[in-house]
Amino acid sequence: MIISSNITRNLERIKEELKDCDDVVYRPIKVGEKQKFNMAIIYIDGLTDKELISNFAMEPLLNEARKEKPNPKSIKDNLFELVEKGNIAVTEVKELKTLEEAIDDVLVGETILLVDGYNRILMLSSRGWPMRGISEPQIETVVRGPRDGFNETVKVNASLVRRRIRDPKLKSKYMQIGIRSKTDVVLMYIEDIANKKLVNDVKSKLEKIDIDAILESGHIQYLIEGNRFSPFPQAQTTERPDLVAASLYEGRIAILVDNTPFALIVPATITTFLQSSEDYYNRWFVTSLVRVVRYFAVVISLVFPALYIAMTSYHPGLLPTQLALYVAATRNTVPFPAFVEAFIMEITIELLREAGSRLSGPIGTTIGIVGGLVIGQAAVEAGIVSPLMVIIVAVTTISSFAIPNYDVATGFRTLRFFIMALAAGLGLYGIMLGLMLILSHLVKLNSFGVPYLSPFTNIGANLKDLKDTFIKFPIKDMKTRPRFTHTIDDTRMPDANVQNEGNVGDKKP
Amino acid sequence: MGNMRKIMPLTLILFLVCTLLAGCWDKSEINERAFVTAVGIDIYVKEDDKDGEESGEQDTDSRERYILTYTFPNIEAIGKQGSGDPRFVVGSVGLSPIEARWELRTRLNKVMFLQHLKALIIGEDVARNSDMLKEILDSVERNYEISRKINVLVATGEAKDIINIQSKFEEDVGMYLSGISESAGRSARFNPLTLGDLIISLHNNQNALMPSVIPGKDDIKGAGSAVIKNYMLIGWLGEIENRSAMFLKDEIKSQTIVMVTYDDIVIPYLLTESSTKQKARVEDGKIKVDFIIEMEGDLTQYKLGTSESVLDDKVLKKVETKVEVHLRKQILDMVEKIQQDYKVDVINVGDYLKKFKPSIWNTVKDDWENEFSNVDIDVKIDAKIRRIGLTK
Amino acid sequence: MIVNNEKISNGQMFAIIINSTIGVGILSLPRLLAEGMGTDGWILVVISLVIVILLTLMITFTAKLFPGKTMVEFGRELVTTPISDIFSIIYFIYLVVFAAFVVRIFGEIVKMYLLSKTPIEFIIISMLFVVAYLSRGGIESIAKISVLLIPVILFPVLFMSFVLLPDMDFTNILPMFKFSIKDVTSNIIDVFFSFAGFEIILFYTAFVEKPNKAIKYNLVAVIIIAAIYLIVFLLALFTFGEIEITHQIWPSISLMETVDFPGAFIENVQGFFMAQWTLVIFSTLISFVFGASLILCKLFRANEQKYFVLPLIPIVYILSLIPDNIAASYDYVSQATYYLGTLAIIIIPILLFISVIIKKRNRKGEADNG
Repeated sequence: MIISSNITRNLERIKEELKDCDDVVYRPIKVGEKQKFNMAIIYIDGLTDKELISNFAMEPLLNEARKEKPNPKSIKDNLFELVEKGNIAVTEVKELKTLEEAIDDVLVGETILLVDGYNRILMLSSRGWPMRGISEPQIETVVRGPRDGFNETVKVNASLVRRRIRDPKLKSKYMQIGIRSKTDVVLMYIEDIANKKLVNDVKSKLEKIDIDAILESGHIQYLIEGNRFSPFPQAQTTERPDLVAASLYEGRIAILVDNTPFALIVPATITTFLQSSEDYYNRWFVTSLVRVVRYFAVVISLVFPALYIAMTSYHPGLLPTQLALYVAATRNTVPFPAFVEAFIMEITIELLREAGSRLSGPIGTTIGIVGGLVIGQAAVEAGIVSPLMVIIVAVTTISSFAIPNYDVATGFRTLRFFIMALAAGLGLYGIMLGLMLILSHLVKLNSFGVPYLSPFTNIGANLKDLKDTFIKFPIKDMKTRPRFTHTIDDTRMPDANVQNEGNVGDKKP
Repeated sequence: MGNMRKIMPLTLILFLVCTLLAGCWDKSEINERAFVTAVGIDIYVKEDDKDGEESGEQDTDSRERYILTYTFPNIEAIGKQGSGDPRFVVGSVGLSPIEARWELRTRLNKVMFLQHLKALIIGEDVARNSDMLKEILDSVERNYEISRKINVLVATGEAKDIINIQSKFEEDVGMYLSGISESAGRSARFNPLTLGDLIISLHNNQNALMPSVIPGKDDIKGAGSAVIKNYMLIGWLGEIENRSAMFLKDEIKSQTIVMVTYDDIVIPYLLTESSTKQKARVEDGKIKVDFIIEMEGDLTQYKLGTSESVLDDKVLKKVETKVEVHLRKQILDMVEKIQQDYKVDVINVGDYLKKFKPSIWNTVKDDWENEFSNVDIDVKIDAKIRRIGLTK
Repeated sequence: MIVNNEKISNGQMFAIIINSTIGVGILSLPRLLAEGMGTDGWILVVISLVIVILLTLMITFTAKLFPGKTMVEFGRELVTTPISDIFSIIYFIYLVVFAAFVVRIFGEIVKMYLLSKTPIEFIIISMLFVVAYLSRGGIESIAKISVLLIPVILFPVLFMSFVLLPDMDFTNILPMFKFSIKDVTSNIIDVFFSFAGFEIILFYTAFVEKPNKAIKYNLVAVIIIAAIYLIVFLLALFTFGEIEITHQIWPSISLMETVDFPGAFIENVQGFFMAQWTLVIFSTLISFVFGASLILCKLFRANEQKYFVLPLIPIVYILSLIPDNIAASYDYVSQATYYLGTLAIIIIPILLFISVIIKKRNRKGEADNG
């Protein structure tokens, strides 16, 4: 719709479009020495920083403008310019061409200024709304490291990242995705590190999204992922800006989405899911041990209950004799076969977990205690399950929480039922079949062109990436960026960096 | 072909469902199994059948039959709330060990599970019958369930008696026997033999030294060994003789004690290390084989109040000589027994010749049984005392 | 986008060769060697290695002259289309039969050690199902999984060596060198076919990114295979002695049984090895099934290889169930390897190589004359 010069007509049309939106405020004002000029300010209460508007838009217009002794002729011709460039003290202004743009901007939280006699509308940036303060992310806590986490405003989040990358090459590209939701999405990458094809690929995929609403980064993730049927996420989600910054330095790309603190990082490989920010702030030796524990946790969370089923029902010969006898003795009272017992316990744990995540605070903790301890204990004493089963289920659940990334932990947790079923049917061979299937699937999986299982899948080229998987080498040894992102610029640290070699007390050469 | 994407998961689910519903062919709950830990094999004599172990129809009835005795722990008796007899013993008769085992299915409510078998005890009668021994060992070797690491023992008398022992040390006979094998094996008066080693020895030379066990009132003693020649038991070696054989085979482990008397004082010589080498040559048309044994040990007991102190090299050397002489006589006695009485080479002289002196071996290998008796065997021992404990 | 370009690296080719070759052969190899030449069986491995190296050199040289083309395609250039297509069909039959054999033996062993009552049909079809799933993923999936599974092959061998060390009797290798030439010639064929698997170089080199460096990697792969076979044979020899080895159908598996962890988990080790070995067979099968589907795809000049995988599965399945019992299985396979194998592994590569040499000479001759 074209903007008319008549302010009344404009107002009418806007009001028509925004009928029944009672939170829109229309403030007509008269500006000028003799209050000759009609202007109107439109904004949505609750989305705007009203103080900004009052002090820096209204005040200059209403008061200061009166003080000016304008040249009538110049005013008439250039009122708009004067207003735009002279009077308004708001930092960000923009001229709008169509009425749709104006309405869109109002809906986003900007304020628009209509000037009678002109077919242009001025947009004053005035976004501001109550938001959650910067607080530590709930599920990605670290012992050592920064505690700021993203909140629901994408501009704040982008700024948190920019604080850590003060390089002009850090690009933040804004897009609006979602026909009705027009959600702000920011694509961030470091231009001379990230692979151009990757950037273009992500950009085009985002641009192709055709949906009415994006409510959370999960929607975007689902729409741009390669393989939707896989239980494994192909993008990493995080609430931590330091993780995002570190990933950008590695040549990856971040996607920040408004209304959610969860940012997406692509590409993602299995090793990135098993790393936590802390790894890079602590000493390498400790980190290496912790990494090994994590890989172990992955295996346990996948396979442990299935192993129990396979060993007790199919291959007790593989257990040491004492253990086999003990297991037989404890299972004597249990009325179900091993796999039914396992399924019951696993499903119970899932129920408990689900219930616990609905409720937080004291109720949630109580459920955890009541469910876990009491029910488990009672079940054992009633003879419905064997104590060994309870231990196994508990260890499995705990180890799935040892995996830093919640999404991928859930993936493995879901798959354990599948492997349990196979173990129930074919014993140890069934478990191997399941593992082969999962491995095959992971091998075929790609995250934006990067094989999911890098760096384990190639001898030679990606070998350097192994420095950050099971064992984490000290920072000095990680001189190049990871290969899997095919970065443009490889070097983190130049080789000739020897000034930190010695300690204070060493003799000079 | 978007259909493909849907077909795969569908097939997967179908597969899973089939596996679960129709499958589980091998599933059998752990507490429905009987973990057999020891098996004894004897020849079945009808009059002795007090426990009525023969039951059911038999397929053929001309040959001798086996009676197998199984023992397995009672699951209910394990754990804190256990009660009842700690173990079960059942017997069964059949033309072959397999038949006997299968016959038990008509009587037992549990599935016999042999993967945890610890010991196989062969009765003396069975061992003296070479056909039977060959049959049993083949069925055991061919069986994938029975591990090669089980202990195989020969009972003096009936294996059934061994299995029935209710020992005060350990309720489960299988565990008891494997425990004995380990500890008695250290003393060298008894050499534990795994199924694997036994079969290797039999395949190589048709002879072996199988450890023998003697039932006591409420314990089992592992002592000496049975001499197997051509798959047949022909005699026994006593404890000391067995130790001598171990010396020659270079299988002495530490903790063996040799007792010597020196000046009327009894001195136990505790071996810590020992190694044996063979040397062979032909002299005057006869094969001469020398065994050279080098050993080290500790002196563990002397006598209070004697004038001589042990912290004296000359005294120690004299004790060493005593040990050497004493041991040499024992060993040569044993050698004579196996050369003349048994005529069986259980000390691996033939093996040595085959490997190191193939030219000599070629001349005698066809009639080694008799040729072995003509070999001139000598033993040279060099014993050293290294440590004498804490006191002078 | 970045990596989906159907190219594999030399390192991955190296892994594929090792994975394709080490499969069921390794289980019965010590027996073959001991039956043939007793304690000198290792010599057979060495001689086979020499022959294999020669053939590998020939094949690699031939294949890398035609980057991007599998044998199906460059064969047509070398020996005219009809002959080359016959070669390709022979290879196809060879791969399918071999896959059937491998999966049958695998089924027998799983049935014996893990699941005695499960019908072997089920074991076979379930394994083939997973193999098909992966093979549809193209050469890259095969390559990546092969790299992943290399440690699965190598570590247990090394691990077994260390654990069995105290119980090994090194004198078992004596007496040495008591063989005759006749022993060598009558047994070398059987042993040589344990190396079957490397001929896939003819087909997979098409996907290698830098085929010029291929020779180095392929040779190292073949040498490592021989080294592994040697180690396994020696382990068996030192632990069992030459006579006992000949009594076991699969001495390598009995070796696994003998491993004794002091203290804990005495029985467990065997199960672990069985599980690990399932992965080894898997890696062998995917290479063969994929290779067969690739040949079909190229023969029919189709674009997508993955549609040819599923039809192969019933064929392999039915073939694998033809032999009645395990002895018959090995019999069938000896027949197949003698005829098909000789053609596929020895004759055809040599013919191709010769034609390459001839073509090169002709071209040089023309260049000189023209």
